[in-house]
This record gives sequence, C-alpha cells and structure tokens, in this order.
Amino acid sequence: MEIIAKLAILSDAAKYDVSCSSSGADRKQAAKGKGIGSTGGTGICHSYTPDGRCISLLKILLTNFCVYECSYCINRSSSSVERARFSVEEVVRLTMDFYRRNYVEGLFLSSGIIQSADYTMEQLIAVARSLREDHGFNGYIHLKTIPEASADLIREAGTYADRLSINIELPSQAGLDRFAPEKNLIRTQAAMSDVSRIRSEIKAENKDRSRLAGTRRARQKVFVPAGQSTQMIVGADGSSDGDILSTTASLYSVQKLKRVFYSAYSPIPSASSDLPPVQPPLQRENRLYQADWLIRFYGFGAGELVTPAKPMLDLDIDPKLAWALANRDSFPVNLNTAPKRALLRVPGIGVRSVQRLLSARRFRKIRLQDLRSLRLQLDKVSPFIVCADHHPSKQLDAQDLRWQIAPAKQQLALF
Amino acid sequence: MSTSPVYANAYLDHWKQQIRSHGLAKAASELEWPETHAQLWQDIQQAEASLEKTGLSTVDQSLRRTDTSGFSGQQARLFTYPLDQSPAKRSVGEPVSTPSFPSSIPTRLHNLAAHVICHSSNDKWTILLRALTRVAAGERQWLQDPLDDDRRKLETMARNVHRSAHKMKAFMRFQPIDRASCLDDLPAHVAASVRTGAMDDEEQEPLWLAWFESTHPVAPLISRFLVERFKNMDWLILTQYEQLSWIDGQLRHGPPLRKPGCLGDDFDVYWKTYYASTFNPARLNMRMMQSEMPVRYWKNLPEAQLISQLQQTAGGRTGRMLAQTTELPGTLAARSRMVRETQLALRGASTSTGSRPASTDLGETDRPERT
Repeated sequence: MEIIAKLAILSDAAKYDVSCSSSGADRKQAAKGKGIGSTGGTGICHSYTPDGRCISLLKILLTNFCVYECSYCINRSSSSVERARFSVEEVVRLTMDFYRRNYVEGLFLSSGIIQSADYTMEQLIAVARSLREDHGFNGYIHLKTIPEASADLIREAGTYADRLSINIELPSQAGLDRFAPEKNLIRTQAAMSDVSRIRSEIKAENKDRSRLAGTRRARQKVFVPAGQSTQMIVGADGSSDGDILSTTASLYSVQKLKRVFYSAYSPIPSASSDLPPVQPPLQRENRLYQADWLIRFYGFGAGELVTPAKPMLDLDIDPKLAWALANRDSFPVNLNTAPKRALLRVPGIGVRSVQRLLSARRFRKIRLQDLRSLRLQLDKVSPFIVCADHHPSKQLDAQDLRWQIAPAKQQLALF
Repeated sequence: MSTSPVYANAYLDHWKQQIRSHGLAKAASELEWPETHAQLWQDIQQAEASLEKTGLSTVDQSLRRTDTSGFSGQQARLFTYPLDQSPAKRSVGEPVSTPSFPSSIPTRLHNLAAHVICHSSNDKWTILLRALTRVAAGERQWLQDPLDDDRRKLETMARNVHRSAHKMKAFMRFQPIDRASCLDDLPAHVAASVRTGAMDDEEQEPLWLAWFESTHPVAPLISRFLVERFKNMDWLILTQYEQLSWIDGQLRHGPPLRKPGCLGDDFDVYWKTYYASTFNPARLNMRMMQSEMPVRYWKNLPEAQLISQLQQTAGGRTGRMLAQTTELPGTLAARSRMVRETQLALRGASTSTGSRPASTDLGETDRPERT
C-alpha cells in the first residue's frame, strides 16, 4: 500500500483522540550535528481543521488493526473500516518530513493492539527511539501507553516521550464492562500511578545529582517531562457529568495528570449498533472543559459544580454562572477589598482579569468603567459585585436573574 | 508633547543591545540589520514630519543631523550625546528640548517595547516616546497599574505583535529548494552560498525557503526560536516586510525581496491528505476555525484550498454515518457479537488473572472478513 493511502487511513483512525497539545516539554534546542527540533512553552497550533480543532502534532496510529472490541471505537475488531499498518521507518520519515517543513510540533503516536500489548508497545517505542537516537529529534513526542504492557516497557517509553497517555475512556467499570470489556479501570489507574511515581522518583534523583555536583547543570535524566494526559468519551454510556468530574478530580489529585480531555462521542463510519447514532454532544463537552478549568485554576471542587441531586451541568449557562446563581449568599463580592479566591468565583472574570484587578486596586478604587476597560462583560459581572460606583442591591435576589443575564440563548433554545 | 527621533533611535539601539545580551550567544554576535534599521529610521522621520505639520515637534535640528550621520557611518554610534545619569524631574507633557534617554528602563517597559517596536503602525513612536518621557521624569509606578492608559495602549500593541509573531511561528512553512534552480529569486548572500557549495563535490543540502505574509514585521522576534529549532538546516524566510536567513550558521536580517517565483512543494499532497483525514465532519465549526486561522493567512497555506470542499461535504458525510447503523441491519452487530463471544470464551479458558485477554492474535490473521 502506498504511504499516502496509509496516511489517510491511519490519521482518520486516530482523529477521535482529541488531545493535540504540545505543551509542557522543555527541550530547548536542536541537538548538535544533524539534530532538529525544540519544545517549550505552550506549544504551537500549526493549522486548524474546519472543525475548529488545532493541528499541533502529526497524530496517527501505527496500525488500526486491533484485537479489542470497544463499541465506541472506529478501529474495533468488528469494524469494517479499511486497515493499514505503517512500518517504524515510515512513521519516522513522515515525522521528519513534516517537522522540517514546520507543519507540526512533533508526533502523537498511538496504535491498535496487535499480537500482544507488549509487542504493540515495543513498536511504538521503536519509533520514538529512532527519532531521538538516529535523527537527533528534539520535537514533541506523545506516545499512547498500553496499560497491559510491562512496566519496563512503560519506563523505556517515558525516556523518549515528552508525554504519555492512557485513555480512561469511560468513567466507570460498569460502562467499560459493557462497551470495552478488555479495559479495566483499576488497571488503567494503576498504570497511571506507576508513571507518576517514576516521574517523581526521577525528579528526586535529578535534584540529588544537582546537589552533589553543586550545579544545576548536572546531567539530568528525562522522563515524560510533559506528564500524562487521558481522555474520557462523553455521551457514549450513561455516565453523568458528576461521574465524569469526580473521576477527573481524582485523576488530577491522585494520578497527578496534567490534562484530562473530553471527547464527545461522535458518529463514526461503521458505528456499533450498541450506541446511539446521534450528533456529538458538543455543548456538553464544552461545559465539561469549563468545569475542568474551574477545578484546576479557580479553586472549585467537583462536588460544588455537580451534586447528587443535580448531576448534570447546565447546558445553557456556564458552570461558574450556574454556581453563582445557586450560591447567591456568597455574593456580592467587593472588587476593591475581596481576597483573590473570592474574585476568582465571580462569573465573567477570568484568572488574568483577577490578576489585573488585584494590581490595579493598589492604585485606584475600581469603578464600572474600569471593568469596561478590561473588556469584561458588564451584564454578567455586575449583578455579583460591589465596586466604587456600583451595588447590585436587589438585583441579586431577582428570581429571573438567570434570564436577565442569559436571555438570548434561552430564546434560541425555545424556537 | 513632542515626538523625537532621537529618543526613538536611542531606543532602537538599546533594544538591539538587549537582544544581543539576551539572545543567541553565537548568532547574536553576527546579527546584522542595517537595512531594517534604515527602514525604521525612515518611518520615524515620516512620523515626525507628519507631527511637525501639526506644530507639535520641538526637535533640535543639530541633534537630528548627528543622528543621521550615526546611521550612515558604519562605526559611528547612533546617539553621540551623553546619557543623562540622573533623570531630570520633568512634568509629563512639557516640551523636551534636550532629550535625555532614561538611564535605565524598567523591565516591564522594556519587554513591552521590544514587541511594540515591531508594530506596523506609526503610533507606536508617540506612545513609546510618552512612556520614555514619563520614565525619564521619574514616573515608574504607572507601569504597575494595568488600568493606566499608556500601559493599556502599550499592552494592546504588544499583544497584537505577540500574536502576529506566534502566528508566524505557526503558519510559516518551509519548502526545500535546489538553490541553483531558484537563483534569480535569492538575495546575494544566499546566491553566494550556492557557488561555495558547488565547489564541493558533496551533495548540497537543500535550502529551506519560506514565503510568509505577516501582519507586523516580527521576524527578529522569532529569530531565536527559529535558529534553535532549525539549527542544522539552511533557511531563508521572506515576508512583505523583511528577510531573515540562517545560512552556514549565520543569521542575517534585511530588507524585503519580491515573492519568489520558485515556490511550490510536491510534498504538500501528504500534508493535505493528513489535513483532510484528521478533520471530523461531525464536528464542523467554521467560526472557531476562522477565529484561530483567519482568512488572510489562507492564501499561503496549501491545506486551506481544501477548506471549502470539506465544509460543503461535512453535512452529507455526517448524515451517512448516522444512517449507516440502520442501513446495515444486523451485520455489524452480529460481527461484534461474534468477536465478543470468542474473546469471552478465550478469557474464560485462560487460567491467568482473567482481566487480560488471554489470546490476542485475532488481529491480522483471524480477523473477520470485511464487507
């Protein structure tokens, strides 16, 4: 099969994995000799497809042959999609050709499971090893980790990859049993914990080595510098947002993941009849990302955003506004005196604006006009704040406050 | 309030030195940008001329002459007047007759200015000058206040330039060219490297050429990034504002050249295949795509030729996928059941932990036939 035909099949097969980020790594410049590549900062999106998603990495499967039978997956064993398999050299060459042209930040390589978990993992590692050792490639490498693969292989993968990821796919074992019987939640989480344990051991080793050598320049071991990520599919099984977010919260706190991605279950060619043929729930996916941000950067707990009584996030308004409307006794917040954590909870004010308000109020009393200067949405912010020339008084108690703030959307939803 | 090329020149020089001290150890020592410098100088003169018409300029003519000679003479310093070591206390807005460059520039202003100075608009000189005047007058606190008017203007400009530089890193594409075949379009120093290369018997590495239309002249801002990433390639980047090249380990920055006639990369077909295949038609979202990749960049992005077709066929493709489950009654489900049952049986027969598929060689050999 022509390489270009394989490329078409194996990038199509990989696109349902939404992660494309290339952030967090730190290989500052191309190696000497023939070396190429650098990573750092927040990564770069080199193009955008008409679905609005970023292309940062060459995201492909080594092969889409797979022995697993996961209902939601285009590559499951019973799927009638065309199959292909790249050789290690073909992936390496494509990556280098793409990278030299400045198409991508690097490679995101995953694979269907062929022969055995260890065999598949070895193939992925061979690609990464060849890029790093034969070609002096210092670009970004994200490898999919197979949780059933042996610990030694995962350790080796981590020495070449900037990021490792294992997809948790569904937040409960019940869901996995039904739709992905080969997958085991506990085993997946254990594999993640292993990686995060090795990372912290190596960090500690590096620190010791620097201390003994008396310099920060002492040779440092590298192990998954950009950490781990994972993905959960949204809307394939019956999991609630509450189920998803509580799994998320523990992935961040226990397994120390850098990112959890959410992927709206999307229609695929040759879809399984076990799953509903529906448009992808994109709005729900978006709300989950917003909630994820609130957990990571705004000091919210998963349990504040969804409760057993209301396990789904509101689709019409963002989760921060929903929380504020449900917790009006926490407002109004005085922009001129409130602590940072209180400012972070005001709807319509982001982390950066909070930082600016904190700096600015050392020099002046914050007024409504200042909020306009910071380009904040006044109708969303003002009911929840007090500033030098504004008090929401009874507006905060209005029964219809939600509709005052977000009327247009609601009307759209009616018609 | 006056605008003064003296300030602007001094600032340019300061900026250049800063880039040298922060920049690449090796490359920076060979950093050359006389042409662009001259271009900026013209910009400043124009900006000043237009301000003079409004009667606002109070620049000392003798100082201006000194400056011009500073630019034309290779060895002459850009500003020959003494730096004021203890900035005089002056109230903002007071005409400046003997301009003094601040003895030190706060880091925050420096960082902002390093970007602002690459903005394509001439307003930047007025704003930078005002900022420098305030600093020279001992005013520094305003830089800490995100709501100060001048800081906001500087930040807006710096943000635009930063975004422009980021988009250049993202959307600029290299293509390999055989230098000899593209000779007419190459600047002299690149053409010269062909002749040197031809002397050797070894096969010459290609030159990587990029044509990019940036929204601001930002090449100097990303030169360090480019050299670090593509250190072992020879490359030339042309934009409508400037040229930047890295040939035989030398970084050069110079005036713009016309768009080369030898553009075009056969390899694009791989990239376009990847682009089309990685797009998910069920998630079509043109608005989001355009907010990140504005239409003005499309003409130099080969993959952009596919956008309208991908957009138009997305609905039909999604509809067919949704209908498929009902149109293929039973076959898929039956096959899936068969696989599940086989795997379940294998797992049951296994004496191992039970959580792992005991046999995993269904893949390539025992795979059910395709329909």
